[in-house]
Amino acid sequence: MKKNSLDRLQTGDKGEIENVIGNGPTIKRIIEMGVLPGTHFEVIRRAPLGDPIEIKIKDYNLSLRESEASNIQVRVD
Amino acid sequence: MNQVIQHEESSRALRAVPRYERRVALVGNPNSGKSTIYNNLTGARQHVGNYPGVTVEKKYGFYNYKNQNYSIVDLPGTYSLSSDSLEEEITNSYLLNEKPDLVINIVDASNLERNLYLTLQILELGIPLVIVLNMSDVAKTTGVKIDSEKLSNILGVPVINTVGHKKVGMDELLEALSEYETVNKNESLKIHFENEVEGAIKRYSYISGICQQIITREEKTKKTVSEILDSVLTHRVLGIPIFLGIMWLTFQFSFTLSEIPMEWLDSSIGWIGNQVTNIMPAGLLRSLVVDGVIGGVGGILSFVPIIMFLFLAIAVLEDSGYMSRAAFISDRFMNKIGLHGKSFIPLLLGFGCGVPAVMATRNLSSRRDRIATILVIPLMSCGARLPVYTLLIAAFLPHASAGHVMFGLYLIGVLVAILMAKLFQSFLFSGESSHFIMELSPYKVPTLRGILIQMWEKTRAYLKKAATVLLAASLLIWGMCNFPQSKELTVGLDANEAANVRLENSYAGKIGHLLEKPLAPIGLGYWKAGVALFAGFAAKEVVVSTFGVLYSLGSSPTEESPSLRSSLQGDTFFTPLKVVSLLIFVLLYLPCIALLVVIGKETGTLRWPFFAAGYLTFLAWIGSFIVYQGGLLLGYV
Repeated sequence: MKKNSLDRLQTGDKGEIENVIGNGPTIKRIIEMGVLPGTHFEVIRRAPLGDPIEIKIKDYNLSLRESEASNIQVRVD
Repeated sequence: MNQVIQHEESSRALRAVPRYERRVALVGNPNSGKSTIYNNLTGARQHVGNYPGVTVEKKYGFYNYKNQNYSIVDLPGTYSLSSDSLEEEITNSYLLNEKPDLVINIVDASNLERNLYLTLQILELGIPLVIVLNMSDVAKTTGVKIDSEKLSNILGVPVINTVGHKKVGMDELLEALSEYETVNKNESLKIHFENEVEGAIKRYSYISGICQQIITREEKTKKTVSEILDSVLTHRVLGIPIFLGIMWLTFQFSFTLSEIPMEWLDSSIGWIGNQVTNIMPAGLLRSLVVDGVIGGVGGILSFVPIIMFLFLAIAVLEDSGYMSRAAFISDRFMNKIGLHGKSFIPLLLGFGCGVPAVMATRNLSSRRDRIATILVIPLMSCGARLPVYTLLIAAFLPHASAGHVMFGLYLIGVLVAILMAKLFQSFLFSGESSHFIMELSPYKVPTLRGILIQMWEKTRAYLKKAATVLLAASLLIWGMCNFPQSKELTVGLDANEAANVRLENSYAGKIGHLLEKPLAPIGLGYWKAGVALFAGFAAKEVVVSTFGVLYSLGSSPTEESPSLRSSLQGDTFFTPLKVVSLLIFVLLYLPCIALLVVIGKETGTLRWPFFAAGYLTFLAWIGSFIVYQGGLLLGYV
């Protein structure tokens, strides 16, 4: 069990979202897309150039930039 | 978990609906198969209009079932009703203000939780709702099974299972929509929250509870086709080469396929022009009809094949799902230069024609990104500039260097684009942000009907937008090239020489003379160059035909004509250095009228087309200045 932020994870890491920090349109969007505390996730891959990140949550695949993922605190299994 | 949610049993008996039109709205997430259901319901009876004041298209259609007429509006795909983007604002405002009789909520069965978020928001509005649980075939491949009856009981609304692209479940849907009168209870959900974020969290926890009751999962160890495809197409090493390959293919496909209709169009229009020339007596009226109207219309139509095929290519990329992967792969690079991953494909399209490229920027959800991309698209040398480059290079530059110069021009365009995008980011758009929260939905096989409808709709939109303005502009330029008439000066000259003299003394020619001073520092202080560049405002290919007139060859030679080439060479004004300066100017200066019109329509204001025209012409002048003066310093003439 480790505390971490989503941008620091590797491909294949799985876990649970603990917290989403901040407010503003980007954060609201992140939450409305289903990334919120208690949601399970898996890091699927990073784009060939290293950014953005693709994760699997709530039965679908979502991509987001590292800068956006840094707001998301997670607990890794 | 304590839910502060009340169900208000408002018995909202749907008012007895007489034989007037039932108004239905289609709402759902992007990629939920909404368009397919819409196409299934309306067939050919579809129209496209505009929501007042905005540039998003309004798609509406009609159908008739059991003697009842229905009108359907296909609202833009959205994830939520809270106004984050233009699409969401439109959907929200339509539901609140237009008050449709019934909403069809298309829900993707393979992805239920996130889809139900929008469903809850609609229920909160208290509008009569029918849920269409679509894409059950995809759900099966991921091992997901949904108890739709239970879902219907929990939410209190009908739930119809469909597989849109196989037209499964359509009869049940039609029946449910017509039977809705008999359901006389409508639960209006009320969820209390302090702010949007809290609301979102509460909605999802309610949804979580529902899903636990209705979803059963089978453990699936086999990867889906989509997952396998992605492991190759977005592979760390293979991803980029494959991506570039697909982009190149898309381009080749569009260009090759459009060549045949283009040639056919060209010769047909030429034939019509010849017929009219033979029938009508020589004179101003004939010139107006042949050069002004037929030439102008011909110019508009000649864009059409390449535009159509580029739209077709976009539709295939979008519907198959690859579009989002293209954005995913290119975002890091695009972001570094001040743009967005979704900007890549519009920029690529710009190499074909700027018009579909600018229209393709619609898939950029942030206005800032959209405008930044639009401003840079004209720097991607469009296909219409190619004949100009070919003519000038062949006439003046060593044969062996032709390929290199051509490549160099395109490369300069791209480099300047990168530079300008960065400058815009720092100076025009500082402080505005955008995001890259984007769904990567499973790959799908596009339906032929779907892509053809999209191609047709977008081509029609272009024709509607550009046709009238282009025709007016062509007539205006024709007018400027033919007045004042100066009949006295052309006595005794043959037709072509007369045309040349008339051109010099017309308004256009006067403009050419006026431009000599400003164009002198870049080596183009010559009225013929000024006139040709001015004519290029209408469309870049016109530069070639204008040169044709200027060298008394009539207006029909092409860039391949040896006579035009030798006439240019014979003109002692042009030296290789001046030609390079001219090439740089053509590369960079203002885009054609059609593109400016489309920019205006897409951005909804006159400000941006004017800005684009202005900054590009200024940039062209600076670029040519550097090249020309630099060349002089280095000892060239």
